[in-house]
Amino acid sequence: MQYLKLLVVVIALSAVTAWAQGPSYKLGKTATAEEVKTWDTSVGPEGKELPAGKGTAAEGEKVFTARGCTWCHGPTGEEGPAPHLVGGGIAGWAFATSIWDYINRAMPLNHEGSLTPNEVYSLTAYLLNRNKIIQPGDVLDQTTLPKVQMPNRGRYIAPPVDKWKPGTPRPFKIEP
Amino acid sequence: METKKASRRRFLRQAALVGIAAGAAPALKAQMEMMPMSGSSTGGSAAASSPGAAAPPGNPTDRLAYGVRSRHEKTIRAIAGDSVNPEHMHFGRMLNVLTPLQDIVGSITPTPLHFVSAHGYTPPDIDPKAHRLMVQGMVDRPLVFTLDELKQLPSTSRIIYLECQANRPEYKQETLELTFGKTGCSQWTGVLLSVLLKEAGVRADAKWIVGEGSENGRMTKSTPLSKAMDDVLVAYGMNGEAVRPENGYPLRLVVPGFEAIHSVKWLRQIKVTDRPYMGFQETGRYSPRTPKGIEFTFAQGPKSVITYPSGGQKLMRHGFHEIRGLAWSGGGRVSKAEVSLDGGKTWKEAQLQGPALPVAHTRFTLPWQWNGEDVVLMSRCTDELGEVQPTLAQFAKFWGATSAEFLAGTASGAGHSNAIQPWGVRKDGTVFNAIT
Ligand code: HEC
Repeated sequence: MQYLKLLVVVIALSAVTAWAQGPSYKLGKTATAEEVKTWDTSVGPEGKELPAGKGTAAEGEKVFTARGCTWCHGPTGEEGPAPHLVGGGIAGWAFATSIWDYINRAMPLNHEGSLTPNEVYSLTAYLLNRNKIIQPGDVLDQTTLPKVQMPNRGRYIAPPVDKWKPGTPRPFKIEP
Repeated sequence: METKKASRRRFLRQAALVGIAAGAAPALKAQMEMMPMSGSSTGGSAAASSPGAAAPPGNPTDRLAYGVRSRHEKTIRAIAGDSVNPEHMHFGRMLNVLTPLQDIVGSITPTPLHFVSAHGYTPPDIDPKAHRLMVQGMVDRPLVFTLDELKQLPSTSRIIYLECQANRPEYKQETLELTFGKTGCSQWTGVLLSVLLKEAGVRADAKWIVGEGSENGRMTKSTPLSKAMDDVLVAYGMNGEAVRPENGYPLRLVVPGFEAIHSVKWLRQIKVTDRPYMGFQETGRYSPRTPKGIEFTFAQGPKSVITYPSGGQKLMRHGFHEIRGLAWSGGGRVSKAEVSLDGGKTWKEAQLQGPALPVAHTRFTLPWQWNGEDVVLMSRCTDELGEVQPTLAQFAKFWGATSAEFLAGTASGAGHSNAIQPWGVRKDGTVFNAIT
């Protein structure tokens, strides 16, 4: 009898979980894998979403001029007026994939989304080589780009998301 | 954003256009014609007969169809310094504008006066019928929602402030709006993100969500799933009407208490992941350098500022003045606001106005007699987690620098600043920024 009661509770509980994690309002349309792929432009640190293609620093140097990056970042990327791309910010980023992702989604400014995957691989290779992070001959593609070791990666501290819950005091609490 | 002249020109242009289209609202028009209008009526209403009470410009039908403030009210958003600085990366692009906090008399920021930081991107002109939000990634069923479907789901309204990480007292500026204008408080209405995530079925090993916008640069920002499941909103409403284009129309994420960069505008995608995506806005920008390394900032700390008297204003007489200010915290409710009349030596508890809502601008007041002496006024906020707003010196020390370095702009990489703002009052009544 006790056992039965317990069983009822267990069934009731699992029904709640199923409700909490299942479609209940029947609104919204399930997206196909193909739809997800065309909609999604973000590339994460593992580079799982990277498209086929490849590029080298030498190719990137040409693309940098051909695609007008020089217009804002200067002839060699170090002159501005837009952020300096050598010896500056991007060398400190944690993942090379983030540089690929940003150029792909946001550059060249005012013509965002106009670059081909090969161009983005080449530009990333050019900038990483200029920042002495990869060798001139290195080819970047779906498999090699996520493996690039960024010098600053070790300084990024994994955020304590597992421990974070509403009402948790900030990690930046300043004791007066 | 735009000059007074330009906005007046635009207003006149719109008024003229609507004058032609007024026939489209016959019922309202008929009603209008029966109403005695000030200035044009012979009736005895006090307003109509008081001197100078001519009809305001523009078509009256239009003014009633969608309200327009009195032509005597001139408060506008100021242009942020970074937008007009040739050295700044956003120079020459869409202007950033600031909330004129010194002129706002409540705790809600009127939508047309809410600050805008769009990172140089022009708000996309999104057709709400064509807009879609995709929820995908580590979920059982990737889903696509129309705006109409999102509006049919259970709705939630919350009064929440949003503040930019770059709202920093140590960027010493003369006026309140230039120093503190990147914050605003609105009632946001939408569907809780947790509702959408449960509909899609989040996988057990998921830990983050990545929001993505529809502007040309398609900004992304990662937020912990624990937060997303708690109180994050997918908002279509702002102060009772549709979110405005520059604030994220038709959909914006609202992440209460976190730096406003998390509240992705023009939201097109939520991707559920097992790690932060380390996009531009979390690795190239907004990644504070703590003494330990490079960290993520979650909730913002307790903060407050005196809005009257504040930098650039002038006390016109000796005697009674009500000190007024705003306090808020990403950590929850404001539990206490204090005011110092002696540069931080002693503190008096101010009166909190209205219910102190969690993660919302909360007004405070303190009656004060000013007899013409030099004085430095400050305010300090304590939140329900017991965190107290620090001085600039304490804030600077935490981030491994000095106040002087912060004020000179040579210290960088600090997280959101919630340092105490001092306003100095001179004998002649002028108020200045006294931060040191
Ligand atoms: C019209 C001007 C313009 C053009 C053309 C342009 N950029 Fe940019 N770029 C910018 C601006 C402005 C920023 C900073 C954006 C911000 O901070 O929001 C930037 C930022 C970047 C960054 C990040 C830098 C950092 O330190 O954070 C990279 C990488 C970059 N651009 C690469 C490129 C490449 C590659 C091209 C050519 C395909 C290009 N840009 C073309 C203006 C431009």
